[in-house]
Amino acid sequence: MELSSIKQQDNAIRFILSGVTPAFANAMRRVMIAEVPTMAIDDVIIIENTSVLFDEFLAHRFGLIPLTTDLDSYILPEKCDCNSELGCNRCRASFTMEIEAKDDMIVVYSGDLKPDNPVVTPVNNKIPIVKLAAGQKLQLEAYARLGRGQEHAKWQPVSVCTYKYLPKISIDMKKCDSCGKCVKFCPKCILEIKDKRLVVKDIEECTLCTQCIKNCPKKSCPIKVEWSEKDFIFNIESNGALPITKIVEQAAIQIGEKASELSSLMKNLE
Amino acid sequence: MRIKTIKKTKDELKLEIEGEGHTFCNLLQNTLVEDRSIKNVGYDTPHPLTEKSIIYIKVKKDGNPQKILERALKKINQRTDEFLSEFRKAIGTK
Repeated sequence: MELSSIKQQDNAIRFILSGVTPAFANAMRRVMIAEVPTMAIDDVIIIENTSVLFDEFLAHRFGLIPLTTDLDSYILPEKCDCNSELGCNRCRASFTMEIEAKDDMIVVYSGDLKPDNPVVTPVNNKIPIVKLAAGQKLQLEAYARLGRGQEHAKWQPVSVCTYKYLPKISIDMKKCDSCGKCVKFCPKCILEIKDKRLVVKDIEECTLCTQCIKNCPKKSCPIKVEWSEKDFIFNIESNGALPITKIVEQAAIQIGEKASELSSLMKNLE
Repeated sequence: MRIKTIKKTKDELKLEIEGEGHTFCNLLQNTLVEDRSIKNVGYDTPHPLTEKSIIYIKVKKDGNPQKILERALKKINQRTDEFLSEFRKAIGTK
């Protein structure tokens, strides 16, 4: 197993994982999307709402706000031993909001939610929720808890999580006369003519569309587009709830935990 | 996670795993297939809305299904550990 050409930019990461099976790559992808827990508002108690939106509508919008998550100090409610329906400090974070439009219309933003624990706050303070006309009022309490993406997409830590096979392009220079027609047709512009010879510029960008082969004027095309089933290009973006590196690490840890758990259950079975 | 044995003979093992779906079972199946003593392995999720999967293992004459399953689980653990150390090395922590 080897990890190379890693590129990290704020909330996005891209790397090549070599020497693994497609099953492993897919398990990583699926765990990142559906099983790495994050915080999201799950219960909203509305005390006063004279805005134009229904209570349910507002609650849904609050649920979709990404919240910064601290996996060390919070645990999943089903793993918490408080046995309380409302939750405790270990499995729940609360917010309050009280806002009123006095003389003029205002926009309520995610930043107007006042967190009890400053560690759990909206990722972005400028997410609009509702407009209030003069005289309208909104007062509510919101409770966030950890959850998994498989239950509801609001608990999904990633906005993009994909992988693709690493492409391989070979050019038979005995047959190719470097006419440059394929260079024009490549939608990702990864081919170029250098010193009158056809070369591949950026192999990672290839989408395996084979337009270069389809548009080659030669009878038997000198270009061969293949891919390796052991190397994967991962492309992951976080929505900000968790740092991107934490999501990847957490996914690997969780797969390991599943295997250990099944292994220990097998021993008890005997 | 909860497990239940559905069938157990000398060369066969059928387990019901509650709380796991395609994510883990597909990885487990593909890891089991790599083992030389495996004759046949497959998994099924009987209904997409229930969190239950059934995994079936059949081994060749010389194998023990339980031991092979444990070997595969250990392999998965090793791979995730290897991935973690490679990843941490690449991002420059540790």
